[in-house]
Amino acid sequence: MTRKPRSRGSVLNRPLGFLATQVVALGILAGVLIAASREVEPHAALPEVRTQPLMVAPLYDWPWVVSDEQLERTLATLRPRLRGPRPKINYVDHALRMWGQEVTFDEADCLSGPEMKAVLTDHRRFAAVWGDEPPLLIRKDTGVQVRSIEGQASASHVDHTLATLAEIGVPLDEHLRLPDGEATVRELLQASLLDFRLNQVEYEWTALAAALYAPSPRGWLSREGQHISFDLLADRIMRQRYGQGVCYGNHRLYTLAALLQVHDHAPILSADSRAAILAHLEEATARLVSTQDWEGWWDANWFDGHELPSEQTFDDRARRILATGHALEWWAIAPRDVLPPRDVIIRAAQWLVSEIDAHSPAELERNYTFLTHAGRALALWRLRNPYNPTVKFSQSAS
Amino acid sequence: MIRGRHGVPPGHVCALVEARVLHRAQFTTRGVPTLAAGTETVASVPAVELRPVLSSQAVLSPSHVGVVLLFGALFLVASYMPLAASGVWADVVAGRAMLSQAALPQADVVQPLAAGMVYLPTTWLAQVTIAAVEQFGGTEWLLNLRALLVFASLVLWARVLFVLTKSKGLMVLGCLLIFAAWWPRIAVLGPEAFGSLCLAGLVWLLVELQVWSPQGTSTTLDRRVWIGVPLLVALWANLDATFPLALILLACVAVDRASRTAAVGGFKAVLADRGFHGRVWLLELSLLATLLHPLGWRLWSESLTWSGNPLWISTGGFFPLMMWSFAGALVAGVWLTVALAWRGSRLEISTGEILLLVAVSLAVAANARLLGWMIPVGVLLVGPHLADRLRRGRSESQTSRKPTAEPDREPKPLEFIWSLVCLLLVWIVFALAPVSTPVLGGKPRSVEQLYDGKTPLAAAAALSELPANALVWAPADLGDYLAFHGQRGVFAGSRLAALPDQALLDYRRIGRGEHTERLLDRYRVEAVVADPDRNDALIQALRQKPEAWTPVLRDPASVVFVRSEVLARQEVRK
Repeated sequence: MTRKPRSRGSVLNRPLGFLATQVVALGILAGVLIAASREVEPHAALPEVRTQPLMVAPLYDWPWVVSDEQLERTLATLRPRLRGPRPKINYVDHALRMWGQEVTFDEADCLSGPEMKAVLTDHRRFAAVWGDEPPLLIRKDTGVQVRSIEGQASASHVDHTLATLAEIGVPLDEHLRLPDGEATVRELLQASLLDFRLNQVEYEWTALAAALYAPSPRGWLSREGQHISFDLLADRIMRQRYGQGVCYGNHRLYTLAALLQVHDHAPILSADSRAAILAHLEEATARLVSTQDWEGWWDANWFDGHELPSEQTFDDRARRILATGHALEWWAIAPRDVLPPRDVIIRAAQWLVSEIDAHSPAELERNYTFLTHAGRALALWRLRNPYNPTVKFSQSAS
Repeated sequence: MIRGRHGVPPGHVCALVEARVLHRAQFTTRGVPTLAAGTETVASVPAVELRPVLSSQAVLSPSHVGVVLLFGALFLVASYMPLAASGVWADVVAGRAMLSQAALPQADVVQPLAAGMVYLPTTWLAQVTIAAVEQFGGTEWLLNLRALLVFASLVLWARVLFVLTKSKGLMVLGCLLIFAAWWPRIAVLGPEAFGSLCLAGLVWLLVELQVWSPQGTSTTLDRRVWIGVPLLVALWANLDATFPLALILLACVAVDRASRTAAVGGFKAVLADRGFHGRVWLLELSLLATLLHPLGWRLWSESLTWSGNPLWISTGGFFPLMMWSFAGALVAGVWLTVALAWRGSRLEISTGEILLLVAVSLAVAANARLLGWMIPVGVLLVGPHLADRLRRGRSESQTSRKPTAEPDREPKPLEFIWSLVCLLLVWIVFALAPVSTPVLGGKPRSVEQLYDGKTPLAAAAALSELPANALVWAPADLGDYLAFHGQRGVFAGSRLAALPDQALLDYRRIGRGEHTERLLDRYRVEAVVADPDRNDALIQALRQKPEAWTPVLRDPASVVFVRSEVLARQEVRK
């Protein structure tokens, strides 16, 4: 009997064997592709968030900066007399940040904390005071956005309202009412983070809100495909010259100081980045010390002391209130290493008290947003909540 | 070398033949005169037969001399072409970083504004090679490296074309076309030059070892294919981001085989075809070979993303082909030529060939910088068909002619004179080329011979005292050299596509002189290198701010401004 010669080819070369191996190979390939596609974005689009935001608290109670009596008098001057039609949204925004969401006033022309918050977060309330103006809250594909820099019926800065809500402790699950239905603050944060571009014009408030609501070192992935970490944010904030940015660059310094404080609670910065922030703030302080006027104020040229151009947007008093109030505000939350000599703060605070006392009602109305920073700064230096000067900040925070 | 005991009359080339003693006093080898037997002169001389040591393949003809001359000239042209300003310097910076840290960089080392964007050093091996060559011999050797890469690619294409067409004329024509297609980018050295060599190498392997050919292919794949192709693909994946083209090519080869088999025996025949099986396995093996990369799976997983695709960015990003441009005309020309060549061809046109043309055309349509790939592929697809037509024409003309009785001629002698001329030409080309300098000596090339006119040499020198962390704005094609020379970050370099959208938009706005001061402040740009031809509005805008920006250089290639504040600080330090 002769044996049939066996084909030299293996099973793999037979049609069925080949097909079977290809099916297996394609299966493996598909599996790998699926697994790989899950790893495509090593940084989640959104960071882990905390429903209750972290609180940036003042660190010093220095009665020699401002006395209790001076503080009460100043705060009484700065009550939010915003009741009535068409209150400027940036005024409401600033007032809410200063006074908080629980404050109430006896004066009929003052808006309470809940009322101010409602104007910003409830379209029915907004429409009641602003009529047919385009809504403040807009729904978009990434979440909810606050209309900004579009006139008096909009916020004055990108994400200022979100940062305000974070600073006054509004949780992420709090409801927002839009013209087309409800949403939550979480969606506001979500849109802010996803639409954030590192090189956008205003970034200070987004960075602050992110630090308070999402203090995660992992950061998030922006729509531009950029992994935004707090180190990168800090670099961005420090990149520009000191005087550049909103309010003569002071909000950048405030956000840096806030990042340092958040980092103490939830590490979000690398050691190098933290050191760079401290060095940056130290230099800012050195510049402020060298340019302070003997009366105690600073002006728009606080960072170099050079003569100001003749044409200025605000008058002398407004500029000085703005520069001085903001400086005292960020120092109040900054670590001791970056503070100036005590007399620098005292002279600045006392100048603020006297200037606010000297404000006419018209000037108060005109400079209100700047004044809220000044009033809040004075309260912070006494560890007080503006809405109740007798309550320590740390008690209310707890 | 003469091994015989007797001299050969002058005027005859016999250096490469050996002489043997014959029984009769007569030289029988042609080319050596046969002396009359029985004469007095040779009666006392033992007979020798001269036989060649080298085979007849070493006998070259005047046409070979022409080919050598042409290739030598192309090599010299490639050698003496100054280095382009764009591209290579970013690779040198990245390669240096890898060499110094012995690790792959995690972020773009040239463009600090790309921090946080996905950065994958897909072309790490090419960058390390370039940086190592630069460290070894400076710019001079970068030029030599580029010339060698171009020449090696061209030689491989020549071999491919010759194997496919069996025609030196078509080979030369094809190579000239390929060289012409490379011309716009020939001054550029970068991973793409390595990728180009890999493509030529892969096609050569496939053609030489009969894996792919329009005239028919082998069923059983040579062992050299199984080793060579995956190894080459692995190397390609580490050298240049265009390596997916290798897989596309191999897929086309498999489809080509399948379509030819199906045309004869149907689908069942394809399934039973071991030749098809082999090509599919080769494709899959090559796919696995691409994972032999420091990034491993990540090389592919990151490449699945649409925006910020690292492979895409490495090849220059989205740079669409404009059909009404020269490049567009060239692509249209390739399509037309392919169509004409295929139309009159007797050879079978397979699906694989069509797919390859479509795949490369799509790639070029999305990124016109890949045009250098289009012509070789076009030549590859046209060559065999054109050769077939020529052969047909020749045979028709021969049959129409009356057959003439061939005289019963003796076989031609082996004449090595043209081989020696070729060798001489090779030596002359080597001696003339800068690559011979280490061996033969010679003066180093001047700065003008090393760098093309656009390289911002003067601007880089003018910025040499600027702090290393100071950001410089310059047109992206100049940015790489500024980053290399000053070891600093620039706003944008040749990897422009890796920047976030906002930064990219602002880069362009600054270049057009829009919102100049505001944008330069926002990014804290400390110095601006503007091209007078492209950035006139920017130059005018900065001139209007003499208190903020001080011009420190103006030459035909660039105008350099530095922030007055930075200059003042430098003065204080001095």
